[in-house]
Amino acid sequence: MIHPSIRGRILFSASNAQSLLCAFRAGIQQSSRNSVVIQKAGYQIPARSSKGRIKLSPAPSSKIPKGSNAIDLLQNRLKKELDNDGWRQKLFERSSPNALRPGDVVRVHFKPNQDSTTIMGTIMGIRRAGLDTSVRIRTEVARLGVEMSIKVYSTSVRTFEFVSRAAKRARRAKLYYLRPDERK
Amino acid sequence: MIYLKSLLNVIDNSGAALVECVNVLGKGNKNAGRVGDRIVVVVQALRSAKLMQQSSSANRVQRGDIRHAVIVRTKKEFSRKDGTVIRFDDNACVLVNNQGEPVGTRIMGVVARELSKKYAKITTLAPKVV
Repeated sequence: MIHPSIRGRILFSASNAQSLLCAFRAGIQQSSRNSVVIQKAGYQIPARSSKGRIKLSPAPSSKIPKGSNAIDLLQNRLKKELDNDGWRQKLFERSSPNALRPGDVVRVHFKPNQDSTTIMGTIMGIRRAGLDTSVRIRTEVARLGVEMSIKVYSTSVRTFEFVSRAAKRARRAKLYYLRPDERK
Repeated sequence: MIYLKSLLNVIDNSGAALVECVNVLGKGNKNAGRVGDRIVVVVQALRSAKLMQQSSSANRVQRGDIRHAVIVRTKKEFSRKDGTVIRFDDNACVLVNNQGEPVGTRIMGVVARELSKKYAKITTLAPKVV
């Protein structure tokens, strides 16, 4: 039997809750059983009087099936929303033969409510990160170089139009050497 | 990121070609200027005389003048709400007066779309807005 003086000060994990639960119950045979609140979470709050009793609401039920990964479910749902046909994924996945590669010239069509509805430029690099995949495109606008890192799955992008393939396969994944040399 | 001693190209026909930033207005200490911010500049270099003839003599800017300007392009990338990140190849500004209106009458080159809310006149004058 647990000594009454340490009864209220025991903290225990869910693993040994069962054994300690019995010990605790055994220990409270002397006190009124109505004053103890027993929960399923694995710890107990002994109430010596009805004043100290803490009301507990039941734990909310999980909205996703047991054993499933919430992040994966979210990614799948967003993918259906943003890229139902799968054309965005096909444009940028490595294995696809028609995929865009660094060095290709591409025209990005934005949604019409913006000033520049089309940007045409060379792909400097592709950052593959699932739904955050982005393409870095370098253009010349009014004789000035502009680089844009455009999210592939963005809803403001209507389409990527393939213009031309690189003359020679780029030997780099990121073509930062296309930037002008400031030293000259 | 434009702050003290930053050099910017001037892309209007006010007469100035290169200015040096002296102060960034409307921001706290240690906050650099970005596209759409107003700055105080000192004119360091002027454009050729051919271009200057097109602007009026009252607006013409002299070397050493202290003026206000609006940053229209930065080399430091800035991001938009849709996730797009943009970077220009230089830092550029347009000279403005105290009311925020451009001093020059023409703008040559690209400006960023971020100006359209506060400096609509600049975006309408600009030949290309990105």
